[in-house]
Amino acid sequence: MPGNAENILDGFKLNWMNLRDADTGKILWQGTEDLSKPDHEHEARVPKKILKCRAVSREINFSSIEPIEKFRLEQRILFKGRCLEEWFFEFGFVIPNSTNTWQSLIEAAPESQMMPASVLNGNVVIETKFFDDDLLVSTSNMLTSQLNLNQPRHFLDYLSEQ
Amino acid sequence: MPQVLESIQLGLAACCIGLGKCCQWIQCQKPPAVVKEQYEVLCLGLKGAGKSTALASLVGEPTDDIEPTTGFNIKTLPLLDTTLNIKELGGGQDVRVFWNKYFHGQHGILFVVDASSNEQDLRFSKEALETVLSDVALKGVPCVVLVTHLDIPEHKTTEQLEQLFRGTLHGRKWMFHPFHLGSDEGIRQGLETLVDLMIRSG
Repeated sequence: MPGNAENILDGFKLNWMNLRDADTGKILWQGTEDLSKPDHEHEARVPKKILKCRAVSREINFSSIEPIEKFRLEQRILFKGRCLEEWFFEFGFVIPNSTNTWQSLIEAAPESQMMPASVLNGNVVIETKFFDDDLLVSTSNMLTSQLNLNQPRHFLDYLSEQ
Repeated sequence: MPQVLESIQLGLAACCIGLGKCCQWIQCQKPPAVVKEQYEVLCLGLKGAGKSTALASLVGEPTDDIEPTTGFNIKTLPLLDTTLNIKELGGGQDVRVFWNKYFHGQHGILFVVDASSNEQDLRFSKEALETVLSDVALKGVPCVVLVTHLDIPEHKTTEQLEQLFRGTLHGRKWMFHPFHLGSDEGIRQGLETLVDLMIRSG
């Protein structure tokens, strides 16, 4: 691997991701562990009420020590390994020693198009890949499960994970 | 005589119809204003001008704990009948040197100015705007200037800032808008104006 590519990889860190109710600005879920670890599948427990939101804001925050020329993102929603949705985003240049965020507001799909939470539970993986042009800089896999806030035990588990 | 009058009347009627058809044809040649699916907006201004604060207000997030931006903050969101991709860049000197890496492909500029700045800082702000707008990549790109810190006792008015900056804004459509902390009205209206200017700039 060319020296520069290795430096970019070593100097890159995906700091956090969050989901907010876009109307209230309230955070529904935030993942703060180092999400760049490629072999580790991270688990996101997303509150069921997210399905009731008119619009959801999705935000990611990352840092880079090295400059990156053509930074881009590919994100896929995988259900039982099948791709349901995918997003592509081009950031362009990333400044050396910078911390950056991207927040995107998504209006909810009509209810008829949403799969019931019970079906999605534990079966949805959000795969996020960051590239510098064609060089894969980082992969993050997030297994989402719907958190049922009516079950006290789950609620305590949720609290203890924060 | 009545025959001549009738002929004249017929002639005139034919002319009117002809003119009407001409006008219709001319109208058809004028392309209707096209609204793009997505517009790229660059949000710039000196450090502390209030760029991150204004954009946080736009999305209903808290504005009291905002750290200086060391890279970029991008917000992709629907506004009016389009989607805006607003790229806010840090205003500190070490980030400003990289601003020109982001000029290509932008449709509009939101430039944020602190109205309570001293004379020297206002000059720096004007120079920063001049450097940005003189770049060939941003030729003809419309600009909305967002005026902040109007709640500070000693501040320039929006009109005074217009006078100071207007020479820098030639060759493009531009507008000034005040922003008041505690409400998203100023930033929302400023961006709606920018969308209008971007549509009209083609």
